[in-house]
Parts: sequence; C-alpha cells; structure tokens
Amino acid sequence: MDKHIISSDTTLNALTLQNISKIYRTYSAPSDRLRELLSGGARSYARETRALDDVSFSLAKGGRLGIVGDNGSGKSTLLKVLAGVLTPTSGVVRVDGRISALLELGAGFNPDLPGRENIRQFCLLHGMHGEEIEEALPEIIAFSELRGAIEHPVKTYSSGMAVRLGFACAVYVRPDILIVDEALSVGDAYFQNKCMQKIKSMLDQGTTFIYVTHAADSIRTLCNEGVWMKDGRVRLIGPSSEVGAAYQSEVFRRTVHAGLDSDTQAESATQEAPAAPAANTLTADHARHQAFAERVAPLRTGSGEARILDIALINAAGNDTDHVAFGEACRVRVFYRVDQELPPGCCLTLGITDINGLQILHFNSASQEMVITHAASPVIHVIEFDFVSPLCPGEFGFIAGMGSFKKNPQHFGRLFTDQIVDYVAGGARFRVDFPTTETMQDLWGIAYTPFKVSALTLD
Amino acid sequence: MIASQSAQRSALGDTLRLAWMLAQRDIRNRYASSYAGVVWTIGVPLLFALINVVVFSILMNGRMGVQYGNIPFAVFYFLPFTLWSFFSDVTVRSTGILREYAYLINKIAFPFWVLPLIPLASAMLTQAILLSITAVLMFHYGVPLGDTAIWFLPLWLITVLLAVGVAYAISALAVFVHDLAQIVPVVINIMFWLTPILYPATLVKEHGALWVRSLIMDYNPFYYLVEMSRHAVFGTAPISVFALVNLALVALFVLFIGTELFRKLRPGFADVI
Repeated sequence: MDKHIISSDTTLNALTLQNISKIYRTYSAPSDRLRELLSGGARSYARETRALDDVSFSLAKGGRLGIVGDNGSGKSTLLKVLAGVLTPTSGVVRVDGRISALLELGAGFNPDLPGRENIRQFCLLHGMHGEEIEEALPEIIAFSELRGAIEHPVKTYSSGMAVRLGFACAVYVRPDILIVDEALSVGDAYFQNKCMQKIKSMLDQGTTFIYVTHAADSIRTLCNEGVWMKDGRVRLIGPSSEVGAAYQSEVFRRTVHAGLDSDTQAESATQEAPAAPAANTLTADHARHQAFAERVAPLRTGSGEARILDIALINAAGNDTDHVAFGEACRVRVFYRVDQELPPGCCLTLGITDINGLQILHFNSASQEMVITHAASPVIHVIEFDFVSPLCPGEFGFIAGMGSFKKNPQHFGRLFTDQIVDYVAGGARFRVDFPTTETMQDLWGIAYTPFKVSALTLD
Repeated sequence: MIASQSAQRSALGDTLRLAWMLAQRDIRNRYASSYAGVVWTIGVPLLFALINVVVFSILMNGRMGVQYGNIPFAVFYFLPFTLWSFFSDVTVRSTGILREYAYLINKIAFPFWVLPLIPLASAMLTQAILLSITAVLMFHYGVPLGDTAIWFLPLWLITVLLAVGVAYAISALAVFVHDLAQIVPVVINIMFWLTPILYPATLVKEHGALWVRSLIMDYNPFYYLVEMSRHAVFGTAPISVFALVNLALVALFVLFIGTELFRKLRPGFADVI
C-alpha cells in the first residue's frame, strides 16, 4: 500500500518521514519533571500520550498531499513535525526546501505589533532579505485586503482578518512547500475563493502542497495523494480520491450509528466494506434505527400512531450513502412502523431542506394516491421515492412526515395537513458532490435546470 | 536530525540578521513602548546608582586608598558598574526570554538560538550610556585615563562571553524550571554585594574572615573583572596577562557549558512552551 507514495529515490522527494513517533509527557506536578531529570531517567513520573505512532511516508517534489482524520487523530502534531516546529521523539524527518506553514490562526504573529511589522518579521523568519521584504510588502498588504488596519496591532484583528494576514504572508514568502491547516475555513467565501485561486496558481508553478482537513471532499479536488490519520497512526495512504472516499464512508457509517454505546459501535466497525448488500436485501438495522430516533427526538412531533424509523439515501449504484453526484438518480427509503390504528387517508411525505432547514423539495405519497392502511404490527414497512436530483452541489437534510391531508380550498396543487401522525427533522443529511470532471456548467444557487441560451439582435 | 529549511540556506548570515532585527525591535519595545521608556530602563538603575554613590561616598570617605589613586567614589564605582549592569541585565532577562517569544517557538521553525542573544543589544545600549556617564565623571573630576586603558576591551569581551554563556544556560533551564525567574534576580543581587563594586577589595583583605575573603576574591570571576578594569582604566596597577587568559578560559568554558545545555534541551522547548 505504501508503494504508491514512497519512492525509493529520495532526492526527488520534497519531504520524507521515517518511523516518526511523538510522545507527549505530562506531569501531574512540575516538580515531577525535575525529579525525573535528577533521577537520570531511572524513574518516570510522566503520563505518556502517543500523538504519533510510527508514521512513515514521503512526498515527491510538486506533490499535493491531503491529510484527513478526526479531531485528535494526530494531524496537527504531524503538521508541526513536518514544519520543523516539534521535534519527534523518534524517527527521521527530511525536508528539502523552504517551508511555509499556515498552522493556526495568527500563528507566528506578535499580537502587540502592527500588521506591517509582523509581515516584516514573518518574512525575515522565512529567510527573506531586506529588499526582498520591502518588495513583497505591498503585495502582501494588497492580498490581505487589510488596508488601514495593517498599521494596527494584530491583537485587535478579528479572526477573519488574522487568517487573511496569515495566508497572505504564507503564500508570499514563496515557499517550496506550503502547508495549510483548516485555518483557512475561517475566512469568508470570497476570501476562501481567492486563496484557492492563489493556491492553484502556486501548484501550477510546482509548489509542493500539504493540506489538512476534515472535509474529504476538498482533498479530492486539491490533492493527488492522501493520508488518513487515525489515533496517531496512518490508517490509509494512497491516491487522494481513494483515501477521501474511504474516510467519507467511515464518517457516514459513524454518523448513522452516532449516539450508540461503544459495544454496538465496535460490533458494526467490523463490517468494513462501505458497499452494503443490506441495501438490496432490505434487512432491518435496529442499531441504526435507534440512532436515528435519538437524532430526531428533540424536534419530533405528531400523534404517534406510527413511527418513522429511518431515512436512507441510495445512490444510482444501489448503495446506502450520504452523498450523491450532481444530477444523479436517487432513491430515498423511508422506514416506518405502525403501532396503532392510523387515521384514514394517511400518507407519507419526504422533504429536502437546505443547510439552514429551509425546505427545497417536497414529495408526498398522496400525489400518487398511495395511502398507508397497514394494521398495527411490529413489521417494518418501507416507502421509496425515486427522483433525479436537481440539486446543486452542497449540504442538504431530509425531513419526513406522516399524516392525513385535505384538499386545499384556495389553491390547487398544495394539500392541507389535517392530522400529523409523525414528523421528523434532523435525522438524516446528505451532500451533492461537485462534478468530478471539467465542465462548462456554472452551478450556483440551490437547484439546477437545463436551459438554452439564445442571442438576438433588435433591428 | 531535522534538516529544516534554515540549515539549508547560507544559514549564519541570515540568522544573525534575524537576531539583529529582533534585537532592534526589542530595544524599541523597551525604550519606546511606554510613555517614559527611557526613564524606566536607564533612569531607574541610574537612580539606584546615585543612591549608592551618595551613601557610599559618605561611608567610604577618604578610604578608597592609594591603591586606586585616591579617585572620587563616583568614578571608582561607575566604571566596574558598567560591566556589572551589562551582565545582570542579560542574565535576569534570560529567565523569560524564550517565553517572551513563545508565539514563535511552537509556530515557526527557525534557529531558536538567536533568542537568548536578543537582550544583548539593549544591555549594550544601557552600558554605553553608563560608560559615557563614567567618561563625563572622569573628565569632571580630572581623573586621567591610564596607559593600560586599552585592556578594558578584552575585559569587556570576557564579560560579554560570560553573560552569553550564563544566558544560554538559564534561558534553557527556565523553560522547565519556572522558579528560576524568582531565583536568578536574588542570586544576581547577592553576587553584586559579594563583588567589590561598591567597596574597595582592600576592605575585604583588611577585615574579612578567611572564608569571606576566598568567597569574594578567589572564586568570583567578577572580582578579577572589576579590579582589573579599574587598574586598567585608571592606570593604577599593571595588568596580569596570565589572569586575563585564565578569565578568558573560564568565560569560554561557561559559554561552552551554556550553549551545550541549550542545545540538549532545545527539542523540548516547543513541547513545554
């Protein structure tokens, strides 16, 4: 598995890590550290935390590496080791070239100095000379868009301003290796976009790039190699698309089981493969239903004769998933159970909301005259909705409801809710991915519809 | 172990330039950041010096002795005090210098060893001011410059080496032992009184018990620095090259120990700070 990234010719590598381990020692009292030093290592008073455990990989010059992993998986420690800030407890780091690292918000800035002085100091710390710095200064200030605030102390900056200053400095010291932590996501959408453009142009010039993120999606677009860190170890290493997909399916698996006790989690963790045959055979996953119930509990309403148990998204390939491609045919399964006699004319509705909870799409089984008439029983029923997603790339949520409906006396085409049997929100989410290939489409907004453009001239 | 970017560049020149810039900023911070920066950094030590001069010129009236050419107390005191103020400035500041730059230490990879050098610049500035005051005093009292005055330079250099060595050791240790921030100023103060800066060494020879004498005179490098600097500048006694070489060796040894300690402890800085 390691072959992919580790090339035997180390001279072509921008950086190489061999068996890196980093152990943090914490002492319950400061005097314990001294006592240990005085005992000459004979006695240990430390509690050891292994932040990195035998991590090895290398990155070729001009390579673009994405590092994914949960909080506490060792990503930040790894970055600090790469940046040369932390000394690993054991192992060898080889770095070829000037590193510029955007590790944290406002990292490396003296809060008492004005922005301009901090830029000078930052450049000097990254090995630039007097004239070089004065030359780069206006460019950096212009890129940061801090304008007058550049003369104010950095401690007065907002987090957005600090990240703008940090990014502008990090890219203008012309590094051979650029390391960017998630810090970037603090900026507004406009500045993020500007940063991405700048990063892309640096990548085109052959800058080696290391990007750390929670979002598996961005490593696939920005990087060609991927490392997935888990509990201080390398869980998976390979092409960024593979690593991104594997990490994403793990996150998805964990989300649908969130809130369960550890026993059940450990049990389901053994079912590694993301491709779920269960989706086709339709067996009941009680653990999953329980997790769903816990997620929707705060917002659940309805008279309760029936219970919606789960909402599952099935992609075109027939697999249970939390993300679909743009324009992909989707199937949504709503699982429910009837506990008591239902009111007459009971129907099931499914809604899709945007990230703020605003409803965008609505599907009602009543539209196709499907009425739920099951008698009360512990049997689990499923209603499937099939549609081609018109949604633009982004995050969305599912809501579902069961109830009886009446004709709307005022408007055609919108039913009145009579009685709500069950209503669930916040139980399931999904994402529409960006197209994976170059396209002329310009996918802004929430939904997309095919269109034709015509140009006419009036005479 | 880490071939960091700094090691790859033509390192030393860049690093010294960095140290110089940080030192310039340090001076500006100390002298210009508060309303009366100069008053605090120069004025307060001067005030203490003035009190010492007033009190001790009364106590020591006429007792400076022919050994020092019967010079006025102010001159007698100020000349070695310039060396001492430099040493104590650098040493006391070294306890907190790495924490002062904590915002760099665990964020950016750069040669940390420039940090203990930063206080040198402001200490030298203070020393320069004290030296010019000494020069004015000598002119005022008509104290002639001795033929051996040039020997003050190597003595000054030895003081710098000593201060740098001690600063490296203390700055590295203080990262792990916070208490040094309290201990060092006290020790420095005790050393000040144990060194014949405010009083002539002859006083110790006449009245001191044997152990006091050996503590103050035999095992204290500052005794030699202080006494030799007076004899050099006032031309009251010949300079012993042998003693000078010994002092230089001691200073180099301290410098070696200090830098070695710093080098050993450096990998732990980012973990603790």
